[in-house]
Amino acid sequence: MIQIEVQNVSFAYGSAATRKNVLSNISLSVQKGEFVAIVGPTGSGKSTLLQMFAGILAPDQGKILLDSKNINEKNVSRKWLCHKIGLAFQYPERQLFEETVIRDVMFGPKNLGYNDAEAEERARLVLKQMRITERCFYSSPFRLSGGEQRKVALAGILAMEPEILVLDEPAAGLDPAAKQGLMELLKERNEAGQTVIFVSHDMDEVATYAKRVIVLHEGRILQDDVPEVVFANHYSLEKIGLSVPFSARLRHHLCEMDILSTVAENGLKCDIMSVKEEVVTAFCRREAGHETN
Amino acid sequence: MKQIRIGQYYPAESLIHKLDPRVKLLALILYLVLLFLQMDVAFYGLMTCSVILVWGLSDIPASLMSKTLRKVIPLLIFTSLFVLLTEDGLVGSMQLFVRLVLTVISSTSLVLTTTPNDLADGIAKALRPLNKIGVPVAELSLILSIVFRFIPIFMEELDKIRKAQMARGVDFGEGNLIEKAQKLVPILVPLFVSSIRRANELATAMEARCYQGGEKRTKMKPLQYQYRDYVAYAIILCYFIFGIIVKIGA
Repeated sequence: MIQIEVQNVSFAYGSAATRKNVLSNISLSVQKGEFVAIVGPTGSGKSTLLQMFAGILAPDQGKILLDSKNINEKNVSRKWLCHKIGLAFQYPERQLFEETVIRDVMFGPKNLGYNDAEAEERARLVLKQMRITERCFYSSPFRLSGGEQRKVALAGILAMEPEILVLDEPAAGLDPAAKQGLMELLKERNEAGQTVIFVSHDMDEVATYAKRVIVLHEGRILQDDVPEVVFANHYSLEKIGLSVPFSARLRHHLCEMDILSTVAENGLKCDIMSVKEEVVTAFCRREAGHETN
Repeated sequence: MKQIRIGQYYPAESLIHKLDPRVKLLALILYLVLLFLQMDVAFYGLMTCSVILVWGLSDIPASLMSKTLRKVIPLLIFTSLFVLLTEDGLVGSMQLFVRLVLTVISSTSLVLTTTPNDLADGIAKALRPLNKIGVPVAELSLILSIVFRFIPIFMEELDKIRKAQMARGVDFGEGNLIEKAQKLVPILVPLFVSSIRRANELATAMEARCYQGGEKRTKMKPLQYQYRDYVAYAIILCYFIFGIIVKIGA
């Protein structure tokens, strides 16, 4: 089932004189339950596109449909949009403002019309999912560490229980453990059927978690495919200032050394475990070859 | 949000842009003094012409000026309407309106043609004599330039926070006045927090680079009067004296 449909969307910032196209004629669609990563160099239009999904920015041309409903029509309410889509901006901890952690997380649900008791119930649930300890619930969010603030802010979005989660660099600036924790949580949510779309500069993260990668460059879609295909061609990514995951680079070097074959049986999987398996089988084969000689 | 142009420099290569900021500051001050002396209609005509002349020399597009004016005119009309209630009546009301519009145009011309840095420099130089009576001019000018520098940054920050709260279900369009005021809290608190954080970071960065205020600091680009600045001073003074003579004569 198609959940998000972007049809020929263009967008430009600035006045007529200084106009600069941020998105030019973009079309894509996202099915329910997908796990999509959007990658691209700085200024490629990733954040703009995310803001359009959530109806924060309206396209200059083209349409954005959520469940086949044009979200930029007058009769679409912010509440409806927030039920559908939860957008977490970059550095979401900067939007914290309440006196206590729990009240900040309750802010979103209350805006959607839930009463205090319901909102608190939801807030407690997501805070626990985010592994925030209960004794922090009633302290000021500004007393928490940066990583915890990030979790609280994201909990504020999750508590609205949107059908689609859209996150702009959710793990940027977190320590490796927190990063992994956060990505695992997104994975869990996705496995439970939620659509997840995220922007990231960390290609290892993208290769490990995403099931589909959209490469944006200068406001256009350069590639839109499964990670294995996107990361197989590392020249085109490096040309626009992106890198490929460590595993894909490793495979590339090993192929150049003729240790791995460029046509692998399992379809050039690019996560680190698959590459490891390939290397192991390749070496086993060599060993076997030596023995027969 | 992004179109507001208070304190924003419009880059161009006009004569007005090249004038020393001190000249422009003096011109603005004397102009405003003349403007608020009681004058007759003919003199207002002259004042309007002169501000339009300066504006024409400055290469600022009319659209930019009209955008600024459109933002403040409701406020100016509102203010002028109060005068209707006093004994000055309609004439006084019109007079105040014209004065306010000319004030806005002239001061906007100054900030559009002068970079914030130059402006802060100019003010600091002009205030320098006050140093002798113990006014910390160097610190004041530093504060001024930081303020000018941070206005656009805070505008951007405000925009980001507003969008983030929209994504959490706040609809800024709906609700009565009190509800709308309440919706400012989720914007203002993060804005304060971020401004305090930024101030802290800036202070640390300055200390790390061994910043020390005071008289001994030298400028990378010291202000230096050119030939055209002296000519401009002469014109401004003549204009002012002429205005005073007309006033006394009337």
